[in-house]
Amino acid sequence: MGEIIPIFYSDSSGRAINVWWSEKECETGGAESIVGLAKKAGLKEVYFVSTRMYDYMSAFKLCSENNLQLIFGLELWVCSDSRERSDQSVADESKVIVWIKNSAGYKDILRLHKAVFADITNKYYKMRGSWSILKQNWTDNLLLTIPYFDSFLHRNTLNYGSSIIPDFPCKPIFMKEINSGILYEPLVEEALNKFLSNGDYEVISTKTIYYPTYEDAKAWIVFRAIKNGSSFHRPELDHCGSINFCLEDYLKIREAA
Amino acid sequence: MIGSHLLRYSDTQKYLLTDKETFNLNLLTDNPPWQSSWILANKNEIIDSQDNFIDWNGRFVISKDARRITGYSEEKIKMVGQDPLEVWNKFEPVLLDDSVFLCGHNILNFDLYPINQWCRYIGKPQVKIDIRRILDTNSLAKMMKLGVKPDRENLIRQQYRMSSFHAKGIRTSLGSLAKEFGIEVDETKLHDAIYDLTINYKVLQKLLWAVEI
Repeated sequence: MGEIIPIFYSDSSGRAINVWWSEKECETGGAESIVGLAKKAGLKEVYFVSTRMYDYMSAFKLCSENNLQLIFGLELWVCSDSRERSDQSVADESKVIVWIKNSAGYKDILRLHKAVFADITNKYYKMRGSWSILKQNWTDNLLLTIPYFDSFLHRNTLNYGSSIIPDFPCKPIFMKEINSGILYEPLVEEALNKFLSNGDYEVISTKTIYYPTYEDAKAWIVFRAIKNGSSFHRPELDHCGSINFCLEDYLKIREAA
Repeated sequence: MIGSHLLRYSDTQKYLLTDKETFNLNLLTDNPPWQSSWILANKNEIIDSQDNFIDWNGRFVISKDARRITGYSEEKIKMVGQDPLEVWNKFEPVLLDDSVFLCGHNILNFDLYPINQWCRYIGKPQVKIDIRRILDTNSLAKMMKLGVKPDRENLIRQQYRMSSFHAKGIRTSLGSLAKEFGIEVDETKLHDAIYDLTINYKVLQKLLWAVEI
């Protein structure tokens, strides 16, 4: 399996209840600070993925103050043509994560972020980029990873109408989620293994962290339902049935390894 | 005989149809089943059936909609409800029998998740089901309606893809399928797990002939 990298998300993504506040600002029983979680886990580096750039500075500042190295990734939806407004265009969407490799990469990722989010013609139900936007704004100061879920492999395998042909700006690294608890995961794993057998790609093991403990999954689904405009009794979040996206599960696996 | 590998010609293949009535529609938490029913059958007849009510001792709250739709009654649960672990011990052996197809209507999008919650709340690890055993009659019905040829090498993947398909005019609820297949349905009994299962079984029997699996 190798080293498992914990990937933190914050509330800004709408998918997590961890926050970029200092530990002092966090009340007992309330949202937990990512800094606090990282320290609890004895981490020296914090891999943080966001869907926007605006909490990068809070993350950078807090990590600097706490002697943690921030490794920042921007999660983007991409498709073949972001200006096309059609059901097929939606079926063609998939996620990628663009990471900053070095200090020069910060400006490059800002340029990429602007290319995607500052152009309203990229919006169709949500803001998305395209493979060509990635390529036009790509530099060696950035790193591309393909996440395990909502990737082109996942969508091609499980989503009706998806037949995504990616056009990578560089050779990506593939992420494999460990112990997701998602029922259809064997199919995603099979698709990943099949793709990897046809090319020379690196794979890293990851653990996505949306909340601190198994018990926090309940608060998390309430947050997700609010963001989704639904309710706790009817969250309307497809296949959202695993409590394993937490730091507690990461620590359990790390201890067992 | 041509097509002899198809399930429609197998007299020995067994199917476990399972349906759960739950407190709400939350896939993640606070929603184990309070009624767990199953039918074990072959293509011609029902071999065994079980209908169990589960008493969680007031641990979970049922939503208004679920109460109305399912006819949930605290009094009935108190009278006939059994211990969750006791019912699980009856269900687990049939659930994990790999020789049996695990069937249900929209099972891929729903029923498997309350089963996992059930395990969690009785202190058991998440049950490991081989998903290739699953036949989702909702997905199979969509395949039938769209004229999609089944992918026999990876039917489960195809079923998951179909489960994400939605279009106006393509109706695949149990009630509409039963009507289409000429199966008589008593609307007042729908959402009682064992009754739904009987209808589901009859629909499965029709689908085995309508889809080449």
